[in-house]
Amino acid sequence: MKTALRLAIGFFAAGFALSASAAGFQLPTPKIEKLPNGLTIVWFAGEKLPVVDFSLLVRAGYRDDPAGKSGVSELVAATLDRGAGGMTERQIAREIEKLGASRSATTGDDSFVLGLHGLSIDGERLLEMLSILALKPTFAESEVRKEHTRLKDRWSRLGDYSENLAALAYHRWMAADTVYGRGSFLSMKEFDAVGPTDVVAFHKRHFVPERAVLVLVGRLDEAKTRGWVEKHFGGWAPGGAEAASAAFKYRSPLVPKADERGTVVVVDRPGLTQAQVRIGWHAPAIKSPEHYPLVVGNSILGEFFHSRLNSLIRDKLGLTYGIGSGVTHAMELDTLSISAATQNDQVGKLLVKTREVMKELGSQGVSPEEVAQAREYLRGSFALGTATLGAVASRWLGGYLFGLGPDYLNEFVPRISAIQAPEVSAVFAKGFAFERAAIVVAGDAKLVVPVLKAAGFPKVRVLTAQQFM
Amino acid sequence: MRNFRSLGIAACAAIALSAGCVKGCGGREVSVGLGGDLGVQVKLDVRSLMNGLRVIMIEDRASPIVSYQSWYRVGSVDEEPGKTGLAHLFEHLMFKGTEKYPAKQFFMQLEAKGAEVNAYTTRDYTVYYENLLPELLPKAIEMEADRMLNLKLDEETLQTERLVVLEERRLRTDNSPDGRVTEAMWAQAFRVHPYGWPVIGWPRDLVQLKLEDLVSFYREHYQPANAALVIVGNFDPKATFELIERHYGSLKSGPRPERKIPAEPEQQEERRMVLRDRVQGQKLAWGYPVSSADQDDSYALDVLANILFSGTSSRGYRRLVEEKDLALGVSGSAYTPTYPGLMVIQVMMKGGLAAELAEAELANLFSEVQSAEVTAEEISVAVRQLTVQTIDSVRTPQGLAQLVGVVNSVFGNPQRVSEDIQKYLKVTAADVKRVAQKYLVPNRRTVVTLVPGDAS
Repeated sequence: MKTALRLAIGFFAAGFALSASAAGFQLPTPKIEKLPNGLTIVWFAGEKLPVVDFSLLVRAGYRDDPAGKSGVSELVAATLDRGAGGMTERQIAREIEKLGASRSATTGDDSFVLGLHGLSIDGERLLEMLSILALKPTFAESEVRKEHTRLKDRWSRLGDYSENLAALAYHRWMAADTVYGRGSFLSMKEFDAVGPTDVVAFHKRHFVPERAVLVLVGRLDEAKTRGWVEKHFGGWAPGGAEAASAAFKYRSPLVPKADERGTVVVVDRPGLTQAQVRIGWHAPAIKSPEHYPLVVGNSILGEFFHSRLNSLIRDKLGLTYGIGSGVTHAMELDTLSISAATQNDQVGKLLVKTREVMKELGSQGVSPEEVAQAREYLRGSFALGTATLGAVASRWLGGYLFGLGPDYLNEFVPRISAIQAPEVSAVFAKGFAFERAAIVVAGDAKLVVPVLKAAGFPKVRVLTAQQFM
Repeated sequence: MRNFRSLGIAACAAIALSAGCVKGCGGREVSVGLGGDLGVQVKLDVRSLMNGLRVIMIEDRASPIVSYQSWYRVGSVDEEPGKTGLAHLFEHLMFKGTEKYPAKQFFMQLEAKGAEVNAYTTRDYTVYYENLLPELLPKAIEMEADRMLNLKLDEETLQTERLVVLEERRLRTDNSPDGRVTEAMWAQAFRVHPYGWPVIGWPRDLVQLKLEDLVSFYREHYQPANAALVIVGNFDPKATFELIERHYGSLKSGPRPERKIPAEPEQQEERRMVLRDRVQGQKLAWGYPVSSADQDDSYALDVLANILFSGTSSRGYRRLVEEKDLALGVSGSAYTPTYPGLMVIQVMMKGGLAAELAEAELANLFSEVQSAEVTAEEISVAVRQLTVQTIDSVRTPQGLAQLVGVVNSVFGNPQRVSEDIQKYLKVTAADVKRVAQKYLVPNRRTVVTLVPGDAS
């Protein structure tokens, strides 16, 4: 699991020409322009293959679902291509797919992305279709109702997969008392209150040029593309300044309170032979001075194969196929998470051994050699992770939305290179005591709970998937 | 996009040859055009060492990285009943060190410097890869050459890694409704051919594999004549080939293992299996035996699968999801690997509906493509989709290396990558109708249904 920005950023994955190699490379920075209506245009041109990715990002996500109506942004995402600009759902599908192109609409905690991917020679038509979907959705009542039913059907199956169950419960716990506390949807009951008028209202409120960023990636003729952008997005009427939502904080009554830390939440799914385990803490924000020390510390803890967790729990003890850690960021929530899966009767041992690793990090810190190795790892993996233009665009956009400045990406390696062992040790000493962790296990409760208690975890709260829906 | 694999690992596509030339030093450098007339060229430099090791290089100085991939022509097809999972378990052990580079050195020397180091096993081949900065390439070459013949195996390592593999199996199959359906489908469809057992192996076999089984497997299959190196990205081919010669050139190779794979008898009856799990809705999988990758039918099968199941404007999606409102999703593709494969269709039923309803509609769909030709527009759309998928698959050095590696592994000739787009462009409506009639035969069908219930 890698450090990630929890943003719904489109599906860029392009190759590109990088002028320099290895250590000293400078990543391309985009050209940024603004249309008179307030729409920001971000250009990443230079793909060697004849493909393009066009994405429209809107600064609105789950957090912006109205009170009592969580799930609206998901329903908007599901309905945007169900009719637009005088075209039916079927006509839209055919129009895009006959180009060999693909489309996506995804929503997340803070943002919403509509994307089209296809051949460069189809650039104008793709851009036009993107504008039709984003600006002229029909939201016919019958189509919204149909997608509403389908979303409920899909959500009802979250419990079919233990990793989904673990993720659902873990997110509710970690996001408690934040604007993300409801997740993508809080309950079927609440979603039942969502209807076509909510979808139309969400779109009207948030799909305005001032809150949107159009990202153009790939092999582009800039002059022609600029003309197409103006033609298809120039007439998008400004929405005014009031668009920001009144997001509110929410805490699920299911998850342990702050003074109940030490409790393990078990989400019961009978019949499983393997349990999914999630362990996590709130972490320093991405703009915090502790951010880069944490990035280095996370590498040592569980990001690569030779990390402390994997070396002990997989490589030495054979308890799991994989255990990893990762740092994620949303606008108002930052987390350090550990993730693993193990057979039911080893859950206690896995937690005990993870506790030992965290305790050792907290009390003894990390060595200069480990930090030097982690720095080198991060330098190299950053180069790999930004080896395509699409990857650069995706990472750059994440930083841009967090207000990290245009040179954020090119600052990464120098900032990491400056981190020393005491800074990393201080982060672990201060913030990540195992006793304060949120711990979620998704598995067969009748087998897992006795194992947990025997391993020294007496406080267990057993919940079901249905309770989370 | 051609589906050469069958273990839920990303499939690959192919590209079109535009010109060729031969150059010195025993190397064959071939210029390859991507996606027909879309204007992208790569050069394949194909060479061999005296010990039989094939080296395929594609220099791409525009990329900041290199993908170094070691392809061994060994997979689960090379196992025998009672010893299933051997190839995959052995792949895990390849990371356990040699005399020169003890355990964890792959990670210390390469991953700790940012390289992506990993491997995967399929039914037909096993691949070890390093995606790395150019400065790490010499070390990767040295270490891969070392472990090709000098791996250290011991009982303690085997025991620990066996536990890890059993956890992997629990994760991917035993506790995954989709994994169970896939495993059951292949087991029912292939009762003689080794494609019938899962790459990860049956648990009863995994717990009985002995150290001598692994040592014997290693000696037989891991040698230069049974391997190919594929290198793509930012490197100097001349200097790199010299390094490869230095590290691999002295390795002795035995004869390339001969594959004696029993053929699957032609299926004469429909086979059905019902699985139960604690799921909220039914799932349906249909499988039909189809051709191997080296048969031209595979191209028409890909076009047919796209027409039926690729995208929400496909015939299958329209019928099952939009018109009849029976399903939440439907997918289908033809897996055409080294040996005759399987076309698999999967349907996620709408809540509360029985899979039989989708079966009736699928039967109607298939009957339609068997009785009347699809339209020229449908073929055009399918080929366009396959072209974009092809280009997408080679957008990174690792993607391009994977494509060339799989083509070399399946066909024994990396230059075969040049043919696919041209062959797709030649598929006619009559071809699509013919393969539909030939392969989508009810009494050769395997049906697996997953229904809500107690898995035990």
